[in-house]
Amino acid sequence: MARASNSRPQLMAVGERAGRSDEELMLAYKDGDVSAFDVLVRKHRNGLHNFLYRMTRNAAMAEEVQGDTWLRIHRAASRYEPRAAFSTYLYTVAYRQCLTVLDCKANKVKPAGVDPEALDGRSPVSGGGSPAWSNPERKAQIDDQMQRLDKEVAGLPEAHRAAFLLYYVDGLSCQETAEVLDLTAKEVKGRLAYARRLLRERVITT
Amino acid sequence: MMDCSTFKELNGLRPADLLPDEQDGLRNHLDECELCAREQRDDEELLALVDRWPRQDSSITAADIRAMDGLDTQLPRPGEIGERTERRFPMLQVALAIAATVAVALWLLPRLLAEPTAEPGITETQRLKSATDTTAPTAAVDLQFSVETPVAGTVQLQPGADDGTYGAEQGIIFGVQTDDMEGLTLVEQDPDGTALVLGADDGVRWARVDGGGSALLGPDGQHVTWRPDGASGIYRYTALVTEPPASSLSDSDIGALLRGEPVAGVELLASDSFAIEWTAGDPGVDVH
Repeated sequence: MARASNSRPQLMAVGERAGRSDEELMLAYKDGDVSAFDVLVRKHRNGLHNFLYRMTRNAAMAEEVQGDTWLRIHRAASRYEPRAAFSTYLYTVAYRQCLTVLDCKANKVKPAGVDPEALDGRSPVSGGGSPAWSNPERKAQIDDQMQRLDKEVAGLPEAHRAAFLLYYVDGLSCQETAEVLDLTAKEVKGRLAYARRLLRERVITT
Repeated sequence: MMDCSTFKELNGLRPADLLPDEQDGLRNHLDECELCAREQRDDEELLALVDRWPRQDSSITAADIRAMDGLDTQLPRPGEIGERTERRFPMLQVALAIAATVAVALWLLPRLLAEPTAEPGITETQRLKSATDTTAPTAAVDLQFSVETPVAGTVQLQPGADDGTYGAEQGIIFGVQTDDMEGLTLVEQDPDGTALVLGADDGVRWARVDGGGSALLGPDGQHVTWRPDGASGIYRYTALVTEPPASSLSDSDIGALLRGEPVAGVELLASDSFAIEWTAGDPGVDVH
């Protein structure tokens, strides 16, 4: 099944050097262009936040890990070399930070499910829906599926959850996902297949 | 024809992650297997649901990050962060220094009283733990030893599968010497994955380790496993704990220390080393 990438780049304001790649921006920051870092943070902060939120199931913890992640990148800027895609680098740092925080705070993490208040009261199907999604019965079904999706993704083993989120939510490639998780691409494909099967059974075909 | 098992693994991946023949195989399989075709529709529904997952916005800004670092709008240059912190927080520096001095005194005093002649020492806990098939290209050896000193705490050295050094609480020197250093680079590998080529001098590579790791990289930039395939050779790993700490030593001082030469004004508090030696055609490895 072919799917287009669902990465969701943020809109950049005019003058934010829209023409430069992430790697070029990071190199510019290394060379002293402070605004380049602003662009990178704005561009990736929402995607990163949602990845970390789905990993930690806690909005405050996700923001804390995000701050630590960018701080590490900022501090290492003078040594930055574009050996891989910046997104791979960013998510690698974030994932490792996330694991550290989860290890440290294991007893404080909610066992499963998302924090409903953190969604700001937004309905999972609100906004931008196609006609099929705006049908009341269909909407109720999708709301139900969405709740189960939250619960079941949260219940996936950590490495499977990370692979699923990086690939399907953040739009990283198999190879990039593998680099972030320190796995082979084949292992990533195996974990994605496992996650899809489990979620398909528990969310779609129940 | 692609089998169902392969289909299930590849279905749901984006075309960019599939080979052309895999894409053809998926299409052909769909025409021939109703069960997999149904799963494919369920997968599409699942992933459409994922596309509509509610998303939160983050309000974090680059200014927040710089504020976390105690900096404002200036980009740090190598070595500048510490200097700026000192300039901006002189009182904090003094307070931290006093606190550290008191803590060290409180920690050290009872030990000095109890063991007035105790020297910083090394506890070698374990050497060779296990090795996989040494003839395989992916051979890995779980090789480690640890150094415990009052100065550096516990330092775990794992120059095996990861070629890394981990867990130092204060700066130490981690050095590697080989018979042929051509193309080999010892780099610092931070937990965040950034890499930096570190010191090199006359057949010695080293890293100042202060909590990150170090890696020995080959000419292609890949990690060198515990032994290169084929050629004979020897890697000598050394860990040194010094006063003043490694972070303040010059490259020439470190090179000399790793070659076993004394350096004026530098006290070698503790050290340990071992070597891994291998022979072409011999799957075994000698650790000594």
